Amino acid sequence: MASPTLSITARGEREIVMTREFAAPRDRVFAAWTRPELVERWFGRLEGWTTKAEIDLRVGGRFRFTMRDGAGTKIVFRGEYREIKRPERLVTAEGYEGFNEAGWRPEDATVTTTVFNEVNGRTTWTATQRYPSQEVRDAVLRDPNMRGGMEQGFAAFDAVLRELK
Amino acid sequence: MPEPQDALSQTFGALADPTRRAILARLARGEASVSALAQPFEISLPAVSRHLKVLEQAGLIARGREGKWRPCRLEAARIREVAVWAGAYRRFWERSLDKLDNVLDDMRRESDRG
Repeated sequence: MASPTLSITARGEREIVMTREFAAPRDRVFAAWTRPELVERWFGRLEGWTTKAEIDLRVGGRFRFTMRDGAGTKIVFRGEYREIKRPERLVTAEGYEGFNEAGWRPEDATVTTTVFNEVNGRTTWTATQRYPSQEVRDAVLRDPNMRGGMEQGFAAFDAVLRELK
Repeated sequence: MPEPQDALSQTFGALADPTRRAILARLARGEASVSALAQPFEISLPAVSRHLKVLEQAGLIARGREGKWRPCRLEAARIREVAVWAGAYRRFWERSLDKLDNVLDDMRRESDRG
């Protein structure tokens, strides 16, 4: 069976909204989202990558997902919980550590509101991500129809990456 | 004092300029001095230096410390991080959430057994 479609759309100047359906009740989806041993089995698990998840699921508590590939690339995605309404809603302030060596600054964070909505035993996940600037939001989407003109820039950037192979 | 710019905007801002991308493309082939980098462009050495400073502050290049020569080189690890982060967004979430389907299936089977 084909995977349910992941919808990714821009909203306003700084937001991205993602939705997808899961064939499971939301208490289970919420658990998979917030229990480290479960998160480690799916988040960032692209081919060749592993994830270590640390989660302190309390308001003001931190989470930290460390992803590594076999070639030594390490990416740390981390943030803090701002709202927790089990099993239907999470608000997190989050970001990628490599981009902020000096430490956590709230103004660098992407604020993500995650909603799990259950109908007939199936769960629709909606994540609304609010980025620190339109520039970053558009860069994330890299959609040629988006404003911001980042597409051309990244075509050249891709050429640099090919040189690095 | 200028407003602190968030680090991601700084990185993407550095990449938004065609001269700076050309400098990165040149450095992808190996390290180079400031004057060697300036040569293909019809701009002054100070102008190239300003571009290099922007790239260095964005963490995309590093400068050597050897006297006048001070070669520039790419920070390949950072560039790969940027690429993974920005380039693979849809793929990242699609693959992750497909894996999550499997986790949910396993949870259902466990709960059926229990």
